[in-house]
Amino acid sequence: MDQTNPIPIDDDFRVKTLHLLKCLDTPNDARLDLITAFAAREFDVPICLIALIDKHRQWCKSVYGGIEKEIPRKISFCTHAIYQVSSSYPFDRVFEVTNAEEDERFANNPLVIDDPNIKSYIAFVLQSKTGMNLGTLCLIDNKPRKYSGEEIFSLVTIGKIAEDVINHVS
Amino acid sequence: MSASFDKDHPVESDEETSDFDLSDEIIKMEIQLIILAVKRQQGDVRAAADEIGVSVEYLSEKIRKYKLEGMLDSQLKH
Repeated sequence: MDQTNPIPIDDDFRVKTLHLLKCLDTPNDARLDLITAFAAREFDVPICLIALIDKHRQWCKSVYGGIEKEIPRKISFCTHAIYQVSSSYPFDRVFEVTNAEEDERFANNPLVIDDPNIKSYIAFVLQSKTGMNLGTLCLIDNKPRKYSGEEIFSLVTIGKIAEDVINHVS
Repeated sequence: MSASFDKDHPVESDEETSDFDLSDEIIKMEIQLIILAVKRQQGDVRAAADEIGVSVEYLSEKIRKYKLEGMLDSQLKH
């Protein structure tokens, strides 16, 4: 398997589920933009995304901060998050990278080496109503960081709200 | 989220989001998640706190704040 681009075994069905939501390539949703702006401020990070993982790309329904709205899936951190998470229990749906430079999965990633110089990343995996991983609400910082249990509780809370909005956007 | 967050950092909304109050949504979701976590541990607050990675004091304070003792039955164990 290409270590830079892990693919879940049920990816074709997952992508089909994502397409059925009819959320990709749609205009901004003010509620989701409010959530990403709030999360960036709450966690004091420069970038917060609501990212959806399509077959070959990561497309962001909401972007707060300086990062491209669409990037190739092969360099996406969020594709690792959806690959790692297999539970529907909200508190099992968090994926964290505390220092990307010291993590062999990401050390050579262009998003780490160049702009936006990702050093830490944490994501709550967003799921469809049927439990398929669609994407993430994620926080990106340009310095290493380990989130506390209480911060992760807050991330899960905000992530679940974003998930409810995503599942009703169509 | 810190208890004082709403007071110190009000969540702005505009016409598009006027029917979407993020502060209210956060409270409703925190309540749902606390009930889910505690019921999953058959009312054992300490076990629920351990599982979700927060201190038992933090979780107990949330249960008190939202007056969830009744919703969590007499199973509640601290």
